[in-house]
Amino acid sequence: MRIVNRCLWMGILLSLLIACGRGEADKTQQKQIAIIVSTLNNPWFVFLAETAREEAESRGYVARIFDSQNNTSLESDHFENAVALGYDAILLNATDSDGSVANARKAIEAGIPVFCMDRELNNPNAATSQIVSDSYSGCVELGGLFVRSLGQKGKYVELLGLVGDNNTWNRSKGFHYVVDHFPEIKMVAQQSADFDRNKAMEVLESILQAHPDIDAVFCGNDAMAMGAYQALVAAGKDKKIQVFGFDGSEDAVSSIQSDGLAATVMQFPQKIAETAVAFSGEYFEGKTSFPQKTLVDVELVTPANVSIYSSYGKE
Amino acid sequence: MVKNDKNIPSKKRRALKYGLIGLIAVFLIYHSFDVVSLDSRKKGGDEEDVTQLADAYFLQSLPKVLADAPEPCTLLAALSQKDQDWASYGKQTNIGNRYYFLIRGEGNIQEIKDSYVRVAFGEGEQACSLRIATVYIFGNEIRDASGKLALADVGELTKFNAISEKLNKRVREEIIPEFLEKVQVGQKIQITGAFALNRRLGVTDDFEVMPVQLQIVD
Repeated sequence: MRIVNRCLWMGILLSLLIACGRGEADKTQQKQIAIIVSTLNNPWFVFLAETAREEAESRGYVARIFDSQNNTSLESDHFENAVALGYDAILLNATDSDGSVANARKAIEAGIPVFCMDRELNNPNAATSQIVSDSYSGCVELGGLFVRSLGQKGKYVELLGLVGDNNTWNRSKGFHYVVDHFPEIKMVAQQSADFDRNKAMEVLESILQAHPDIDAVFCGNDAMAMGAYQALVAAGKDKKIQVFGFDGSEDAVSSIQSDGLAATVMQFPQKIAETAVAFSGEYFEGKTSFPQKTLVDVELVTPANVSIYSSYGKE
Repeated sequence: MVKNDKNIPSKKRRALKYGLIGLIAVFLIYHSFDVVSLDSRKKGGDEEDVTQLADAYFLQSLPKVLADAPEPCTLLAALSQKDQDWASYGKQTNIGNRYYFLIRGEGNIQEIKDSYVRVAFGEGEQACSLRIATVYIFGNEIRDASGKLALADVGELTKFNAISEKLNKRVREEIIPEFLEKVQVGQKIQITGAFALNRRLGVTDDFEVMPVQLQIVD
C-alpha cells in the first residue's frame, strides 16, 4: 500500500511538473499582441486592425483587437487591461495625438513595447516606434493637382478632420503649403467635420448656403469627401464642384472610377500594419533600438490612374 | 514735528525716498527679463536650425553628389528596362514605391510653357526630352534625391518637411526668375536637378524635373 501511495504521489508531482513546463513553453512560444484601434466605425481602421491581426497570427502570435470608439478614457482602460493581462506588445492606433500619450506611457513603463500605426503621438518617448503615412508630402502632391485642376484660380472649402489628430494638421499644412502660393485661389470656409461622412454632408450643406459659388472642396479624408459629394449631388452641383479626398477607401476609389470624386491620396494600411507586426517580432527576438518614426509613402489617385489601384492600397 | 531745510516733514521724506527706490527697483527688474512664450522661443530656434541645415545641404552636400549624377537619357533608358532595380539608380526615403533621382546634363530648349520648359537631351537613338518645372516646385525631390539628408539625422518630421520647403523656396525665388527672364527656345542650357518616379507607374511622360542649377550656355 505504501509503495502504491508513493507511486501515486510521484505520478501527481510529475504531471504537475510537466503541466507547468508546457505552460512555460507555450508562453515563450506564443507571444500576445494587443491591437488597440481608435475606432472600428470607420472601414479604414477595420482594415488596418484586421490586417495587423492576420499578419500577427500568420507569424504565430496571438492577437486581439480592442476598439477605443474614439474615446481616450476607453483607450486608457484597454491599456490597463493589456498590461494586467500580460500582453507582450501593443500596436496602437491612437485616439488623440496628445491625449493618448499618457496611455502609451503606462505600457512603456510596464516594459511593454508600443508600436504606433498611422496616428502619431506628440511625444517621441511615448512609443517604441511610430509607423505613419507621409500625409504631409501626400497633400503637397494633392495640392499641386488641386491648383492645376482649378487653373490657378477659384474659391474652395476645406473640411478638416478631428482637431486633436496630427494627421488632420499634417494634411492641411501640406495642402496649404502649395495652394497658399497662388493668390487667386481663395479659401472661403474651413470647418471640422471630425472625419465623419454624415457630419461632412451637414457642414457642407450649411456652407453652401453662404457660399454657393465655390469651385472645389478639399477634405482631410475620404469619408468626409463622400459626405461632401453627397451634399453636392443633393444640391445638383456635383458636376461643377470638384471634391478631393484622402485615404483611398473603397467608395472613394469607386467614385473616382465613375467620375465622382476628382482625386484621393492612397494610403497603404497593409504596409503600416505589416511593418508594425514585423517590428514587434524583431523586439521579441531581442532588438531594442527602432527608428523613432518610419514613413510610408502615399500615392495620388486620379481618373487617369485609378484602374491600377485597389481600395486601401491592397496588393 | 521735525522738518528739514526744505520744510518737508521727515516721515514724508522717508516715504518719498523708499517710493523712489521701489520705482527704480521695479524698473530695473522689469527690464532685466525678456518674457517670451516657450513656443515662440522653440519656433525661433527651429527656424534657425532649419535654415542652417538647408543651406549646408544645398551649398555643400548636394553639389558633391550632383557632380557624379547621370546624364538624363542614359538614366531614363535604364529605368525603362523591365525588372530594372531602381534602387541602384535612385534613393528611397520611405517604405513604398517612390524613388528619387538626380540628373546632370546639357540640352536644348524645345518649348516654353506656363509651368515648365521642355529640354531635349542627346542625339539619335540616345535622344530624350524632359520637362523642367518652373512653377510647381514644392515636393521632396531636391531634399531626398541625394540620400545625404535623412529624417533620422534631423529628428523631427516638421523640421524635415521645413527643410524641403526652404530648398524649394530657394529654387523658386533665386534660380527660376533669373532663368525665365533670359530663356528662349533653341538655347543650350546646362542643368542639374532631381525628380521622383513611382515604381508602380514606371517612367511616365509628364513628370517634371525640379532644377537645382540652370545655366544658359549661349
